[in-house]
Amino acid sequence: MKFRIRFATQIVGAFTILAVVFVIVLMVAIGRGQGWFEPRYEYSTELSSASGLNIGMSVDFRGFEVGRVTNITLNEDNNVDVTFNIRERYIHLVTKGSLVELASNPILGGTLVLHRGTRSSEPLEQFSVIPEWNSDIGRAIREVGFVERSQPPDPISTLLAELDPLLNSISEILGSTELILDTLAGTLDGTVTEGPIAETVTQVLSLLATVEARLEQTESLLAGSDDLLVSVNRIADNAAAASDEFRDPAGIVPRLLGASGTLATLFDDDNVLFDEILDIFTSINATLDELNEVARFAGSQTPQFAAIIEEGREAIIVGQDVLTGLRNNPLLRGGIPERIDQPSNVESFREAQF
Amino acid sequence: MADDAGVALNTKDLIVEFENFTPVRGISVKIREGSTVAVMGRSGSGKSTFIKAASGVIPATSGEVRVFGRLLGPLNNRELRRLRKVCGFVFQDAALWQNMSVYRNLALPLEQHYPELSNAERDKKIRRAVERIRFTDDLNLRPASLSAGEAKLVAFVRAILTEPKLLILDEPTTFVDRTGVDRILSMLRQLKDAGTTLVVVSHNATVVSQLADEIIVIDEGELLIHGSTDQVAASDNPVVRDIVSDVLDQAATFDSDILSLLGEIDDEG
Amino acid sequence: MLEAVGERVLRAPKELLYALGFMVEIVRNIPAYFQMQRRGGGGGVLKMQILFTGVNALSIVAVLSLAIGAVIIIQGLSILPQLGQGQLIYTILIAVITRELGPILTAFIVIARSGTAISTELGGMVVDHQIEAYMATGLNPITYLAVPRVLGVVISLVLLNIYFNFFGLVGSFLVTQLVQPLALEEYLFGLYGSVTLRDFVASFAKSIIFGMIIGSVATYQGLSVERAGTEVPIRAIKAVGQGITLTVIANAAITLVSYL
Repeated sequence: MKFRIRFATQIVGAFTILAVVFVIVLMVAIGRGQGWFEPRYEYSTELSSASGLNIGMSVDFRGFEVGRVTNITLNEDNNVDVTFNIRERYIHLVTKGSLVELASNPILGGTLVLHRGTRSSEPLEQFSVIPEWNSDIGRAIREVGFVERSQPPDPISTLLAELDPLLNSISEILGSTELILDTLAGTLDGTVTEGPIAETVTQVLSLLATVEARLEQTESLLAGSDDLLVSVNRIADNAAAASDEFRDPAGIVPRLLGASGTLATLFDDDNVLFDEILDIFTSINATLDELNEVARFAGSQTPQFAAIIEEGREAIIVGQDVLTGLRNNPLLRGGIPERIDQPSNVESFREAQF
Repeated sequence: MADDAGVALNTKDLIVEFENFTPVRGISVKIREGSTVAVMGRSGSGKSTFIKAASGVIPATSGEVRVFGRLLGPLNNRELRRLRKVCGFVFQDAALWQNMSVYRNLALPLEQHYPELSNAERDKKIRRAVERIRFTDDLNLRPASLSAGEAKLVAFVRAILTEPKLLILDEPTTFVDRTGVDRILSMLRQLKDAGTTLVVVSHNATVVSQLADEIIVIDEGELLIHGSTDQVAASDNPVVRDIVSDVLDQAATFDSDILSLLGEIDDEG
Repeated sequence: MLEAVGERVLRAPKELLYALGFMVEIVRNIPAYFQMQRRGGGGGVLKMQILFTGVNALSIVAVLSLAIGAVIIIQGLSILPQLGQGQLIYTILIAVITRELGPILTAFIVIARSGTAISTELGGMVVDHQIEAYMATGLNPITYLAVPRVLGVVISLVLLNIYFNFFGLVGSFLVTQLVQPLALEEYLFGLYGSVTLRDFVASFAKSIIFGMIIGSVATYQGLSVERAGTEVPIRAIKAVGQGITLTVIANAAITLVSYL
């Protein structure tokens, strides 16, 4: 104790200096690891939605953090201006043709992925705008091959990307089916005397081919995936079954047209055909329900899920309206009830960002 | 205030209240510069509390205190320090700072009020003062190892080292042995001659009779009388007479001896 | 009974306000203290306070943080990998040691050791009129006695917190070596991948604020002794109780604010 008091000054000095040294060493180590002392260059991009995006989020290139998102603002066009910086040592990745992509999913969190441009090795000037992967410019750059995809997107993002066109097609089929049934109803009404039924049916058939192709693609993607994707697999199966029904040579469409191209069958078969159509819609509905469940499982962080389901639902509602119309057909029951305002789903759906 | 000229200490309706009792109940006095005033009263009459409040060591509950015309209370740190330089205080129980050596106890007020002194000058001043009271112990001792009388002497030195113009002493001679009392008396006499205003709370008849020009008598927190020793001696208030009788007796007895005694002490100083 | 409760309730905010005023007074007097230091006064109170509060508490802080770091690692390594979140151990270490336990446990240690010591010492000084002697000499007891003690507690607490972090993180590394050997680089890389400047700022801010609270409460309680020696232990107990309560409340408030 005597010793301590006699050398109080020295002891307190040592006590303080050691602590300060520890903090400085730690700060320098962390700072170097996180690039505090490195100059950063600022760039920006425009996204259509800020969901899944937050300030401080990392900008990744092949899994390495090369920068950070510094600011997010809503601009006059109701798009989101994103400002981010890139550390000096990675500045060579930002060249003409570079694109960024928001990879955000509810399980792994989000990053802004940087894709390197292959057009030149000259870094882009600070404050330039780097286009987004799925924007029009982004698509154009991809098509001419000026960009190198820096990392395959994670399975969930891929799945979302594949589900988009699939559901799109389902929605289109439903739309066309509606058209057919509409025409049928009109014919029955006597309001449409020479309906373009044949033309419409051809259209539906070509669409079905697209769906088939999409489904195969999705299935191959999903094959061998982990448990999470099993239910998604089932969705695809259901959708496939539904489309098979449409394609069946003995299925609805030929039967709709009937052997003579008349509508006789519709009334002759004790509602069998009507029930079949109803079944198809029911199964598509079930499919969408399951998709809904997957989405809920994955959490609500990814608005794309919600968007898809919403689009699908709207399509189903249209289909159901048609069925209701059939059921209420003046010859059968009492006419199609007027439904006001049926916005075009496809437009808004296309805008959803993936 | 114009009539404050020449007044060292001025209190007006001074009241000090503690949580459950009121030791000082409205005392107004004026103490002229250069005078020596003895404050007397029975034990527990509130003399100590009065002089502490009058010198701003403890806060007054209400009333005014002016030291050399300056109102205590609204003073900031610097003004307070300047005031403290001219107003010394010796505590009844010495109140030396236990966490520092005797030497530091003496040096600290000097450092505080005479920062311009060099270490050597300060040291010289301390050594000389200590010699005058014949304090022979090691100055590096802690106050806890001093006897009560020695501690009192140190406290006395601590108060006069800064050469205050107003010195307030609370029982400066209790616990101090006879020779010690003599030394304190002689030094007080010198201070008095040098024009220092002295306010002494004391039961010691010798001290009062030999030094005081005026006597203040306090009882139950109130001022009974304030006047010259003669005036107080002439008072027919029985309480006053009771309190000051010792002093008056002593004064009569010692009157003849005083001159010779003082001469003797002065030689020593 | 009713009256007593009412009186207490009415007195509480008044006392709190007074205590806050006291804290403000201390902060206001910090420049005066440094002026005095420059004049050569002060007598090394600050230095001794750091010695007693900081250096002498180092061993207990070291033992405590080594043990806690070890416990976090052991628990973390047995649970987190089951969830496939092994990397989270670093985030947890930082959150627990740096942001939460570091500041608050060192604060508790300092309350127990120095909070009591300061309030008892000052209480004793009041009882034998040493405080009055300071007043009589023109030394403001706040500047001369309270400020260096509060500063000493603040500085000690910040330093102890740093040591707590050091030993906590080193301790957890040593235990990792026993359970599943890990390269130092990997451990450090994991650690400073999860630490942010914000963690440090929050941790330091806490230590500084806790130090202010502990120092102010202890000096306030000590100087609140009025005359009797029996008040001294009562005030010391109050200093501990109030110190702990206010520290915990401040901790919750700061954590809340720093996560907003």
